[in-house]
Amino acid sequence: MTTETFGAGLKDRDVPAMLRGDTTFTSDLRLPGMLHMEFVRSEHGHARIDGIDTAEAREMPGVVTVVTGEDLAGKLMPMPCIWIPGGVESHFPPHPYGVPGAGPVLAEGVVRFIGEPVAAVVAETAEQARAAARKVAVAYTPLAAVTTPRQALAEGAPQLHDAVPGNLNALWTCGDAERTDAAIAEAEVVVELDLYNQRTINNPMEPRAAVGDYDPVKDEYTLYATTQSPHNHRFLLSALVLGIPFNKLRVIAPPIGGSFGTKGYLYPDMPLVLFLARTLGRPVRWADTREGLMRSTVQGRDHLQHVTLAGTRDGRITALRCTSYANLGAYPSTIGPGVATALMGRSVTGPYAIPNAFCEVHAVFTNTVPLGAQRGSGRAEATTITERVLDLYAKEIGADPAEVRLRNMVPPDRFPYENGLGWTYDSGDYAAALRRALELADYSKLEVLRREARERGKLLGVGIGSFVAICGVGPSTRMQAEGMLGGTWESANIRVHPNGEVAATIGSTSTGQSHTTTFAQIVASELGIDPSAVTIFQADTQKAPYGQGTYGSRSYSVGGPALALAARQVIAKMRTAAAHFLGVPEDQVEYADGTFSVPGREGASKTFQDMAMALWYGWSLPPGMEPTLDVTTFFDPPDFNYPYGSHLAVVEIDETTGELEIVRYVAVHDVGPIGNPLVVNGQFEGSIAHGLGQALMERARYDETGALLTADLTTYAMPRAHDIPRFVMDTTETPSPHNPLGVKGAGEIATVPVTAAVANAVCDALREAGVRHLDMPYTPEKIWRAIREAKG
Amino acid sequence: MELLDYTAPATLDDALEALRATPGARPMGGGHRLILDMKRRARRIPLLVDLGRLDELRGVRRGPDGGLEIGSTTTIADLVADPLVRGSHAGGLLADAAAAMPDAQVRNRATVGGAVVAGADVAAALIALEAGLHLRSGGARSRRVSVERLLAGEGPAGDEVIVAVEIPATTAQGAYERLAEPAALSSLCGVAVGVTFRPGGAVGACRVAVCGGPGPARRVPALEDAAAAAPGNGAEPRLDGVFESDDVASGEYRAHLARVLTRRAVARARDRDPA
Repeated sequence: MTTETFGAGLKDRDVPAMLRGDTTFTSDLRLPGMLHMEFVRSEHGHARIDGIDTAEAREMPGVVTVVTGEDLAGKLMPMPCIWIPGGVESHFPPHPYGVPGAGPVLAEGVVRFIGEPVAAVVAETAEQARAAARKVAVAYTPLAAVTTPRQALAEGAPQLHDAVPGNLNALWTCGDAERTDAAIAEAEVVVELDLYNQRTINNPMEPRAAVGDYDPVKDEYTLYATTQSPHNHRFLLSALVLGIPFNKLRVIAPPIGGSFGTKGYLYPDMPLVLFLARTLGRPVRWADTREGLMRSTVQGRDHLQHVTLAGTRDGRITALRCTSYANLGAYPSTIGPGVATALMGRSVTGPYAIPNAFCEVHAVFTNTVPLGAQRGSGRAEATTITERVLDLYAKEIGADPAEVRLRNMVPPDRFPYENGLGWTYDSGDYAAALRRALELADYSKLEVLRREARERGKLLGVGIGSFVAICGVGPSTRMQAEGMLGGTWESANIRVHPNGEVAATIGSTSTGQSHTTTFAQIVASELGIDPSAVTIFQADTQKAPYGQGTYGSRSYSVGGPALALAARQVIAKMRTAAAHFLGVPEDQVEYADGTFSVPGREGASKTFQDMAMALWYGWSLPPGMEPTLDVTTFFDPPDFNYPYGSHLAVVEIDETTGELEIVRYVAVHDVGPIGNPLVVNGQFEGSIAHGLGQALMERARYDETGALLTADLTTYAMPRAHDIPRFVMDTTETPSPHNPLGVKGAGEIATVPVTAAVANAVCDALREAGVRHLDMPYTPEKIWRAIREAKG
Repeated sequence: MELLDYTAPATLDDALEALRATPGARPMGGGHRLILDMKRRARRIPLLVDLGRLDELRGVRRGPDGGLEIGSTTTIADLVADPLVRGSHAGGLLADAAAAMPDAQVRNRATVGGAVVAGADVAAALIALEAGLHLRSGGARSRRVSVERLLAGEGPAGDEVIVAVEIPATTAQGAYERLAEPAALSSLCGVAVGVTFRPGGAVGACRVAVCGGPGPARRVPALEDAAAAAPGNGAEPRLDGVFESDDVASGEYRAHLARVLTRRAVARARDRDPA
């Protein structure tokens, strides 16, 4: 590899045009004869549908058709759920093919969350479709609703699904309950904590959209959609929803304006625009609005947790036990149940060597929008509770929270380290990253700052969030054991054109992470050529080789190695041919800076371009060698990778008003070697902002009927630039042994410890006022109230 | 948003006639509130009368008596930048409050007339400044009313247009303090004070107007009395029922903020006072 290319902070190729709005996003597509679809969404959290009168809507100008759940019976199958955690029974009606089910495309008889699609209207224009959708008269009988797991599990609670007694989708556990309970019973110190990790609404800049097209001559469908996983969705939609041959469906993901996990899910619009395009004989477009997104795109977090930590008086943690109630929403989303259980539960020991651990997760149905992934999902919820209870433990034994962390972190000589809950950490020096964060924060002098703040009438608090995050999903067989219905390898193809230009195609799909830049850097450095000669193709099932998509911080650490391996095969083949042309044994040929040469033989050389041309012509190749350079590889990692790090937040609280200011924020990460620091630092910054949003202000709120009270951006608070403090960032570098590049996931990990660091800082500041713990988000009124109540 | 009729008259008389002729028609300044309401379908309006082309309603003038006359379609951005508004009348209280309106695009569109009707930060500042309004309606009818009384329920009627905001000359100092909620950045609680100081710094006369929560900006006599009381002399002002609760904050917290922000605003006004 040439280090000048791998590791260079090259500017993103695509983002400027996306920011200017010059890019053609899915909702910008205009196909000839295209129709527009609009959903009629439930206005109730829970209600019986007594009837749907579409007569008036059908008479509205421009309306082509109106469809309801009844119209789809026998034509579209229900949606599948492909990640019910391994080893547990899913209490939800299965899909007709026996895989876990995820509910109907359009509601059948009952609506179970606000925003659930009840009918779809298709018209000549989007305005006409919207106007007609308002004329669809749905007669409802409202039913009692439940919006929290506690309500849903209560005796006599309203039931969402006949097949799911008690509203419990799954009870999942990991670790050793008996040993953990015994260790807790014997412990010198036991600390307990209840914490609510509130529900958040993901708001990428671009809401979702889908355009369906059908070619009656070839009987072929094309779906253009905001999807993180075109190949996966091709498989699921063709086989399990539409019931058409795999060969007849092509899925294309146009450039995507952010996703953060939400666009990896199947949504009703995807099969519906395809079905309607075929039945109507014209392309059908659907594009969501911001308000629609708030009520229908999968939401994040929402765990009600109880944790018990046991340890010695001198600061050694001996056991951790966590019980969590995950609010799954009204239906199992495509991979929601797995995210809410395994990703959270197996992660609760964090970066610490805790000899006894156990976690159980109750995944519960409620009358809320289905739960899914949000940047750092599962791991952030685990980190928040563990880091909070660790701080309480440190305070209980009168120890410095940083010292307790350093004392319990997995030491560098214990890797690979099995955490007792199912993850095997790959590599790292967790304490080194924390020490670096402490140094950058000037940790030893913070007590001075605390006194100075007190003199100004401010309460100062310091909080640490240390973490390790499972990434690089993942080893396929391992994910099979986790209950994932699908392979999790990744694929790449490299073709070298006759003039030496390179077309590299990947199976993952960018949702704004600069794939075309960073993957070109991998290819260029492996091939020893300039990255400007490399074009990256992605996000089209007809152009790309097989692929799995973008989720679980896998594109760079699972897809990247596939590309590198393909590039290495290209160079190997070129080397063989070059040796043949130069008349020397292959082991005498060296390759550097785009030239194959023979040391000691002046003038005996072939350039990369020479070899590209020679293999294209196919003239006088070595016996048995096929012409052209066209290599497809698959990479199925031996195990996950585990980036880690430590954040430190310093906050000041105005005791009088409860206002909060983050006055210092330090973040140290280890993601292995960094291919493009500009891109990776950008991911870190965005991830931290994402976490600060949850810590400071974001909260989805439902009333007791299941109505969403925060259904637009005037009521759902998200951070703006002025809410984000200056960050001090640094990295350490420990390669992962689980891929040939040594890289680890970097797209979401910096979100993982933010809520922990801020929660610890706020609670540290409030300790002086007598507050033991306060849940997020830290709004001024909540802080003011906590101080007032603690003072009595 | 549904299709609707729209007109942008070239003269004020034409605008007044259009409003008179179509029941339910509404005048529009910048539309920063009206358009949002219509988009949410909270209001159905048969005819929008855009006042944007009426140059006669725009601009800030100083009257011979030292008062300010501000044309009702003067934008908030112009108000914030105007040297007359920034430099006079209670230490630029109005410019401070106007600058609190989020965000830059809104300040570029929104007008002072619209901001009065919206009843938030700008309205609170104008109440503290004892500002009045000049309103016109069809048939050359005209009336004057204080901002305070207008927001207490005295109009404007459907066919009335606010022509100008009139701020009398004052020797008071002033300051604006607020705490914003994080979603729309509107004020959880905003406090405008206009205050005169006695030699030595004690508070003489004091006007306090607040905004935040469901109701419009209004004066709060209890806060005025508390501000005028000598330091350490007098209990916390009672504000029972002055602030309402909503999804964003409790009335109790808003009342607490009003007390704190009034103290801060008076202190800042004192800092600004040349004496």
